[in-house]
Amino acid sequence: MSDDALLAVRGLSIRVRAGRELKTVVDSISFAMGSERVALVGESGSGKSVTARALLGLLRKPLEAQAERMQFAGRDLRTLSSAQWSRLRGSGLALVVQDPRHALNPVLRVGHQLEESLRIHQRLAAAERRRRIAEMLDAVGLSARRVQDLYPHQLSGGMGQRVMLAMMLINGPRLLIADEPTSALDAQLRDQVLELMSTLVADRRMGLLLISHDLPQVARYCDRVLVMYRGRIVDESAASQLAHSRHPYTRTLWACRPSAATYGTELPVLADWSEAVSAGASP
Amino acid sequence: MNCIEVRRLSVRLSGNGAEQHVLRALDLEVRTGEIFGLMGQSGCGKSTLLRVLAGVNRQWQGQVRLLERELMPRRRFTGALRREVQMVFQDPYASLHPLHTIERALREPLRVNGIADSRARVHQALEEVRLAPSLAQRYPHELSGGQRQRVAIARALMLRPVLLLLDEPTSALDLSVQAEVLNLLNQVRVTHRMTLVLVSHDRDVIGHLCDRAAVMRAGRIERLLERTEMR
Repeated sequence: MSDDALLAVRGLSIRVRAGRELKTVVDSISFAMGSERVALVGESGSGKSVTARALLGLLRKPLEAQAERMQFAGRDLRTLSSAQWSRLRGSGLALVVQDPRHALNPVLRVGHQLEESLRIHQRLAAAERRRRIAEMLDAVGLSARRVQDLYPHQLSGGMGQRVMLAMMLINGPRLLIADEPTSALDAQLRDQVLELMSTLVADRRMGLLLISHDLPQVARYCDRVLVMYRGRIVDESAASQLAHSRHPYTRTLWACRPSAATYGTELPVLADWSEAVSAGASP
Repeated sequence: MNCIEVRRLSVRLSGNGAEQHVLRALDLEVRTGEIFGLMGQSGCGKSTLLRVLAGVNRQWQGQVRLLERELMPRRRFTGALRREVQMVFQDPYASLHPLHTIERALREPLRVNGIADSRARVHQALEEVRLAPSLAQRYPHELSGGQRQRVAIARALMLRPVLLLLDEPTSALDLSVQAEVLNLLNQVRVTHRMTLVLVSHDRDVIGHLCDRAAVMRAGRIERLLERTEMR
């Protein structure tokens, strides 16, 4: 784990307190990433989303995080005050969530919301703000003239996710964390949004941590993949090498996706691997 | 032989004084024994079509022949049709009563149809969808998403349907759980000799499961895909 990493995490554990019991949902994970595109892949309950929230300082009770090390661009995230977190979120680290219609303010026009996030982090003249908003909307493939006066409910799912992306990138963060950014979209739109996100991040030399349950899909847009299962990172691989992964869980995730080519065949399922785990045979 | 024959089917929604066509003079034939897919973007009318075929939406015009019986608009299903056509919804959490045990949920279709039910029958139904009979006494919130969808499929199978309608049955599930449910659908289709109509926005799911499919757009069938045309 090099010191010049953009994000460095060592021994991150997340627990949830239920009455007197303390349940571990993330069990001492470690990883580091630079200005690259990394996918964090796992299924429901693997701990991938709470990991994202911990990296953004967004965990709330009854969840609590503990880490030996959690550094972003040289800063220790474990000791930030809530004011410091507020400054860092948006300008250093940004989060895109699953459904933009829940994340955007329903009673403010799109242009107003973009301007608000600029005001919070930067001191700019009004004309400059307008210029940047138009430029940013253009970068995500939207026309400022058409979109900035709309309210969130007037946006389609794909447009909403583009607006969200514009809002998150407008302050030039160094790391974008995207939590299932396309699961609420129609299949045709998913590739478009992932492609756009991947391109924008590469152009701006940012880091991208893309969280998803769909391994084959995100692998196309990332350099590296971390696979989570039941709170642990069980496999790590270059995206180009995934088809050759030897880990049984990764292999199932890779192969269980249906397609016209699997017609008439039985899809591989996890049963064997998870039985092995509950029997204590695996890590 | 055709399991479903639809001629010039129209469904209109009226609200705010404006009238909107959800289905526009749609024609469709589904052959007995096949798995037929309906795909298209949100709002194309695919779910509305399924709800007409299930007898849930009865406000339609045109001709619908189901299992060789002519349907009447605005009329509820009667007689054997009520057993022979069953439906599985996208979100089993919303379609299973939260305060009823799994056993009660599975007995309900037998009870309302006046068929003798028993605990053994419930256990057999659970085993058929690869669930442990011990789950019978649990409540829906105590099951995982994949287990709940299996229960919803088991409930639909209780009445030995001839036609099973599925509305996005796997889109709320993880990929590996989706794989289990797709495998299960392929198995029960053979053991029960059913015709399946599957609505999905995911062309990969349609491509994996279906013998033929229709692409819908703006309330009409835009294109019919034979097996060899699926990609």
